[in-house]
Amino acid sequence: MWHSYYKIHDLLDIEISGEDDYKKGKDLRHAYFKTDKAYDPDIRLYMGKFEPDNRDCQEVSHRYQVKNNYLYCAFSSWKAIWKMEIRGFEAGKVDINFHGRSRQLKGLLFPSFLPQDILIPVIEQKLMQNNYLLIHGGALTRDEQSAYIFIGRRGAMKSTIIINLLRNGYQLIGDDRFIITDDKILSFPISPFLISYGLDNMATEARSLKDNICIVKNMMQENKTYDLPVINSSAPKAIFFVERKERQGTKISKLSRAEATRKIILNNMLEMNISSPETPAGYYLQFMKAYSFIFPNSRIASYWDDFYMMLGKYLQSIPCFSLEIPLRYDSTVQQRIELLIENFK
Amino acid sequence: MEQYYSLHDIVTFKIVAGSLPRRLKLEYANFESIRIENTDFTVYLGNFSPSKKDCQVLDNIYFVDRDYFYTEGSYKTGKWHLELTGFEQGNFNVRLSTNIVGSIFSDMFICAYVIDPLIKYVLNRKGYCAVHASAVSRNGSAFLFPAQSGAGKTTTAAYFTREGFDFLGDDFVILHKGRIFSYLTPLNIFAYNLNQVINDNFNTMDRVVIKMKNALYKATSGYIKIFSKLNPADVFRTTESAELKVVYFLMPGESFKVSDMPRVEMLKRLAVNWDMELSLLNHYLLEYAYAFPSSNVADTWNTCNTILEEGIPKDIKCFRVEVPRKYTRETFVEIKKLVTGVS
Repeated sequence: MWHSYYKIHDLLDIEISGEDDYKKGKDLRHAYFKTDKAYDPDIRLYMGKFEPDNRDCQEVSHRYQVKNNYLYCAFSSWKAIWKMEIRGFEAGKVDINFHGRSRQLKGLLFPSFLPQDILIPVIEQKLMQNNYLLIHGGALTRDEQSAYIFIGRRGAMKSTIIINLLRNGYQLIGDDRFIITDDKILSFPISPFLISYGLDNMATEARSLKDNICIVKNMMQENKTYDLPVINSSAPKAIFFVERKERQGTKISKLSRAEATRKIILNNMLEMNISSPETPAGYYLQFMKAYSFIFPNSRIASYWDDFYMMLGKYLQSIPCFSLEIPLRYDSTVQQRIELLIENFK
Repeated sequence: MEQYYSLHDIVTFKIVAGSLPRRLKLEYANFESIRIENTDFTVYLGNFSPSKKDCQVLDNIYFVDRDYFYTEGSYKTGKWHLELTGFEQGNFNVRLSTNIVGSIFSDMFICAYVIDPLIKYVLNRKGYCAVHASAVSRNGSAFLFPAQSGAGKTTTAAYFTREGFDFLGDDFVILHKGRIFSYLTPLNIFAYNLNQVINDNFNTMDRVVIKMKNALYKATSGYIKIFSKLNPADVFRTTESAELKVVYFLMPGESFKVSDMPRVEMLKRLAVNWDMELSLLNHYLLEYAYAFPSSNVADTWNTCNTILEEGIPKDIKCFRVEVPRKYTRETFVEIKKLVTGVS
């Protein structure tokens, strides 16, 4: 059995452990936060066979078993098969047991990836309990003082914009997630190996077969390190919602705070609500609904309302914009974006 | 061919298809209507080209613009293309093409994943709520049994019809300002429920088929789920609507137990339950709302809360009724005691 420990700034301690068949690639995702042993982790994730403690549960949707502060779910399809229980689903220390695998190639090569997916929504929840919000989006800075945030759905070219800004002197705060609180944002880089590879080899985030093969080869090298400079903390200056449209040209327009707040929340919700998911993280919104049905007065039931209030406060002095870019991403689009950011100085 | 449907003139729709799939015909048989001008929405079944224009692309598979939504997807062995237009401004058209129209999966898919959620969505837009519940009535008073699937909605309603109550629905009913309207879709017969009704209404051959379908369900771990259908209007006395009297939330438990459920809790549960029943449409609504956060689509869930609040008068009592997993005649007798205590 193996153990890995992670420390998310001074906010959360995480322990991941598992049987040997889950070992490959175990540290790739959260390599940035890797640390020495943590003694009282806030979140524990174990991968391996386990006996669920799901007696006395109420069943919801023929699928989720729920009791106080606990949820169990078993899933099986041609894409994946797994079972998972979460103790501390609503409050307190979180203890997750997971056993299962993706039936697709990436899952066969790196079996720890599927269970690690669940950490993101769980971290999001625990951070909110401490007044920090984990947002789906990217953040960069040039001078360390001012940060620019890019939010978008999958396929919005957010990653492409980020890679290209990194090439032009910007520094990374987060590629897919970042943390926001009252007066600052904090780093949350995920999968540094992907960003590194992208920086060295790719024009846009669209991966060719060759890219995928190279990435997997890199991932399989046990002790490869990634020298990706990250700025841990900065002050948010502006938020751009990247919207990819079929028409030509780039366009920018102002968004109201109410609209921006709603969009950020919907974006976070959509990350937990993938249609036809194989990963437990894609069911997380369903988990929350199932739990809210059984416990309508719980923190889970009021999660999104609480999120909305908190986020509204944090966005107070940050201007928000919709940034429309064409389907075809090229250097003129990139230049236009950099020009827009310059206008904020 | 065109077929018109009306739910109490509250929601009307039209299906246009080369031929109407048999399961669809069964599913909405009780809503069939004569020709209606300007139905609330129209569903065109068959191949089409999306009129995509200058859309925003979300998740690489959703194409949205103001009052426009297009996607392609797959479900089990089927693939589909779906286009929604005019859902905000009126003239709501739905185009759906699947690659295996006529197969069991495809037909069930069209009902359960497309048309049913659309009906619920349009009801919501009009200030009505499709509550996930069964309901029966007597002397103009309706008794509502909201519950999750498998908790005993159908069984409870079926038993009540044998006691002289009128049937309003076994899976969904329509709620609006203190009134419950019927929603009559085929009863889903599965071997685990309705033993009495199965025996009374199916012949030996049918019963064998039902047992086989149930075995198939178990053998494939739920992947293949084929309901046998029974039209409630053929077997029960039904009524159009009745005034809501009491709410009994059925929840699975160890043994029969009744307790008060506070109003706020009841409203929250009903709202979550409504949300969970929107299936695929839920995800599409979220994507569209992300693109257009000020649209009335984005307000869908707030609207539902308001409709429920106004739909259930403040003086209506709500009870949490825990029902044992094995629902027997004794269980029903207990529930009947509750209901007849007030009717």
